Amino acid sequence: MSWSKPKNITEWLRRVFSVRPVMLFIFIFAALVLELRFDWMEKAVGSYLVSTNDMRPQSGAIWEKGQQMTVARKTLEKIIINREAYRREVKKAETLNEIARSLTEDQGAMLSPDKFKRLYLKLPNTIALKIISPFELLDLYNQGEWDRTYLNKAEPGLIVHLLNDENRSLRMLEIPSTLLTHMEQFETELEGSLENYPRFENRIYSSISFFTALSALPESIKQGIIPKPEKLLSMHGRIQRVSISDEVIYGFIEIGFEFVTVTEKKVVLIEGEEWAVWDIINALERGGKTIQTEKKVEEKQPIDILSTGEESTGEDSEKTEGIDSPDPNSMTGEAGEPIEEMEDTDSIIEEDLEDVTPEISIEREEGGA
Amino acid sequence: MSITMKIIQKLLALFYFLLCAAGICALLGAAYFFIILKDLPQVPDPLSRIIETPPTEIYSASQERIMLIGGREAVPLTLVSEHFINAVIATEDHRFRTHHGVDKLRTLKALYITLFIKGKVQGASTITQQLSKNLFFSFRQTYIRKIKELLVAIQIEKKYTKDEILEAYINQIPFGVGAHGIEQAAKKFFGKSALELNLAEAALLAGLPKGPARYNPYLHFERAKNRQKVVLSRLLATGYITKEESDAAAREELQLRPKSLASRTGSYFLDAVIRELEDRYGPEAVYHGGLKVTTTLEPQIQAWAEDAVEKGLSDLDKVIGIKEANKETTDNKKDLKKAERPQGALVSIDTNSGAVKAIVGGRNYFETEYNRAIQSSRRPGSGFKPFVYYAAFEKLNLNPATVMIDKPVTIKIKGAKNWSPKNFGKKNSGPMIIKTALTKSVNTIAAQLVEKTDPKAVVSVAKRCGVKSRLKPVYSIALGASEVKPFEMASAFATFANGGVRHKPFIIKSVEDPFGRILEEHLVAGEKVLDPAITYQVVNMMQAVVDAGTARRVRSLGFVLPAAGKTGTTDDYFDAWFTGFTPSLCTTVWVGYDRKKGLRASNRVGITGGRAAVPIWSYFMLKATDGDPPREFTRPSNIEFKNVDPLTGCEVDDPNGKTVQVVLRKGQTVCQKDKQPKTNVNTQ
Repeated sequence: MSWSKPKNITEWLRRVFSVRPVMLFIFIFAALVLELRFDWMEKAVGSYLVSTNDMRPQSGAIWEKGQQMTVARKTLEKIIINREAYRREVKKAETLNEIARSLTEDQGAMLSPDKFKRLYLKLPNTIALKIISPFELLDLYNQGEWDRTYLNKAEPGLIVHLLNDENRSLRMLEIPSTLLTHMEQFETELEGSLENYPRFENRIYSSISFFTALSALPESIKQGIIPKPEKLLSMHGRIQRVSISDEVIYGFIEIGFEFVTVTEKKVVLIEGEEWAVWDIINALERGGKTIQTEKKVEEKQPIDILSTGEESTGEDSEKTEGIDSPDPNSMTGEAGEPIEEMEDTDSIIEEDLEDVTPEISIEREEGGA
Repeated sequence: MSITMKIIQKLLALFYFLLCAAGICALLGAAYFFIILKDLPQVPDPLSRIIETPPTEIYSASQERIMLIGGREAVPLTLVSEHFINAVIATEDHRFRTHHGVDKLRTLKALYITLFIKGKVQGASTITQQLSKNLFFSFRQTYIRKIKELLVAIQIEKKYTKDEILEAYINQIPFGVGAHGIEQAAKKFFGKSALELNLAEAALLAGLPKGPARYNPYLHFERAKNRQKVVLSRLLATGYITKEESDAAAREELQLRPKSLASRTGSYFLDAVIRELEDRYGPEAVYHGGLKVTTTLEPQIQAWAEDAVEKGLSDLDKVIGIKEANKETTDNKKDLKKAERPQGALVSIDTNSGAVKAIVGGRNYFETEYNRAIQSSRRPGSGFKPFVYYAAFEKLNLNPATVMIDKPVTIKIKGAKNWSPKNFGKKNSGPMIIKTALTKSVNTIAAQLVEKTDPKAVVSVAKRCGVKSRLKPVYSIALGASEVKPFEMASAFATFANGGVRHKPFIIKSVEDPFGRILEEHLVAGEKVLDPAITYQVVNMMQAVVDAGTARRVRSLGFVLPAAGKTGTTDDYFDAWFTGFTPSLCTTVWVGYDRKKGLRASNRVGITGGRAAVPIWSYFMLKATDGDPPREFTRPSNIEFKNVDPLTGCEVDDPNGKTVQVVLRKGQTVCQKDKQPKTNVNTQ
């Protein structure tokens, strides 16, 4: 039905107050009043927004802060994880050298005094004494101030701080890299033959001669010469030659045992007590069983390999002494074969290698002597 | 058509028009709602997450928390004074408990005022809308932002209880002076917890968020007090308090915490700590990582340092002729702004550990954040001479009794102009022993020594002591031509104080993550960099500088403990220095203008280190060492003391007022009185 204009006021009024406009008006009015009274629109919009909350972006200041917090936590976590990894490695480490290897320039390691003592006690005496006297360590421990030990890599190698509970360094120990290398030599077998190590060049004996001389000595002296035979017994291969170092360090002398296997030669270091080692040197020289190299011992300058490769001076004599042969004449007069004969010896050993068993053969050697 | 009909017709047309318009608006609004919905930020759940960011806490050496960075110090509503909660509601949004995010009546009223009353703009944001704005939106005023803010407020209202909303709100609003959240504000302004606030205090604090800087009670107390009265009137109007309570609170005298304690004590120090942390861990970790940082800062020592610099520079202002600031007179303040005032810096280091006890980087952190103690490189002038004397003793085996001649000196420099240093007084005094030369800061003798010693040796000594700046190995290094920072000077002289053992200076003792796991800790380990006997000789000579030389004002200002040091003044009085130390504390003070301008008194006389820096050092050290027993510098075993004639350097059997006591190392001798004096170093 098409709309027609009301013709008079009555019709106007009738139309205005008809059901539909009134209902529409009431509806709109009610909606407004209810909104003012009950906030239904806010509630409806609020409910909708709550329901769609998860689908909306995490944007705005508070979320940015949250993201920055995540970055911060990750950064810190990474640092902590690295530290924990270091800590685990340090905890696992059995030697000071293992710790030194695991450290980087910017990452140190913290140890308890007990752990440091354990590591210290594992060091060969020659090295331990170079780092700190056991009596001084004992004194520091007894004073009760030593709370922790911090190790870090720095010039000249490894720096050890014995700290009190306020992180103040009670004592700083420097372990030069040369000493670390030396430590490593004690911990593992050295590659190659005795001639590769200058300090062993001058007193090389065949294993037969060495063990013959050793067996002739009293048991107490034997123990002084090889205080830890387990290290030798655990090796595979056969001892071909034995050499005694030119140096005395804090009352100890290194002895190098050259092991031969099918594929390679290795040198194992043992440190013998000076007084005992002299006995075997005397015995060996008296017996004339050396396969000494052509160089005469007395012509050699003592070398202190622990002091950064420099030659020892008189001032160092209380720490490092060159070994003077008790009877140089006997050494020179009976000093075994020249180097050419060494080659012969080697060739003989090469032949012997064919029936080398992987087991240590000290007994067989001794028996053969 | 009758007029009535016409009116009815028009009214009806208007009604339908409005109805259609409302309908169209509703449709457009709905469409727009769905369009902006995708950009609307997600609201975190639970809402308390917004205050979960752990703050980085900075502690003093004595484990007192001195600063929070980022994060919030949140407290539950139950631990907040009811007065404050009521005051916030009454002032900010009195229908908070009844609306659903929007106060429609207030909005309509505000709309009317903004649109129809010229020059007036009224806001109608509810507490929830303010929270929404603070959490998600920038402070740029746009209509879109307002609509988004409103929608988020509606969502927050739907999801959370009123108490949850209120708790989130009061824990994040800014109150000024670095306080965010009511707990921090209560502590900063009144030194108490939020629960302990009384009506007057709560009303003052509730008025601050409207304009934290404008109503800062430390700077504008009257304004803040007026704002407090507005808050009290709102409390009265909304029925929270009675008239009597309101009047009583308005009359109550507010006990504000002293400004020095409320503002950031050691701001220059803390800035340095934050910068160092940022370098090591990155800004995210510092501001959002919740680190626990223990510093070497001692708040009391730092406060004394700040006071000493302020007092010393104020005194200097008077000498220079700069009028004192009058807080009441605006003109004077303007004058003061126009007149460039000299700046100062102070660094104090514990000589036995390297722990930095105080850093002051300028006369007022809030005027300029530039930290002159650690960022500014300036020429040290004669303050560098101890390195020269040490190098000469070490390299040439000279001793303090060696006789030198103070005479005009010209040093030929290959490929450059000859160098002819002059003494401060432009006069030469002839023969004198080295100790006297340092005591009187004789330039010509320092120049002769550096020529004989070689500048590289001097650089080497300074570097060994911890100077990190690039030092040019030129002759003029003897008179401090290479720029250094006050921090370096303090660190380097601490090496002298400590018998030649250098401790790396540090300001951070340890850093932990929020779970207490250690990220780093400083190890105090000294390194012997100087010979103890030579160091003692130099220190003994520097003691004479304090007792009878260019820094003797230290004694006249009442500092009696054994101390050593050296003043420094550069050409045209650009810089005035004094670095002095006791066996336990080494302090450097620098005074000068930021731009190249000489320090001159109102009568145009130049101001030296002894006049500008020594008083500041003395004010500070008097407080910092108060109660310390007199302790001599550690004396090495291989030295001996001799009394000598200051002109001949020959031993004197009966010491008198003119004789000088010198320190000799093992094997060093002085001439006997019956022998002719001789100069040990040939000079040009």
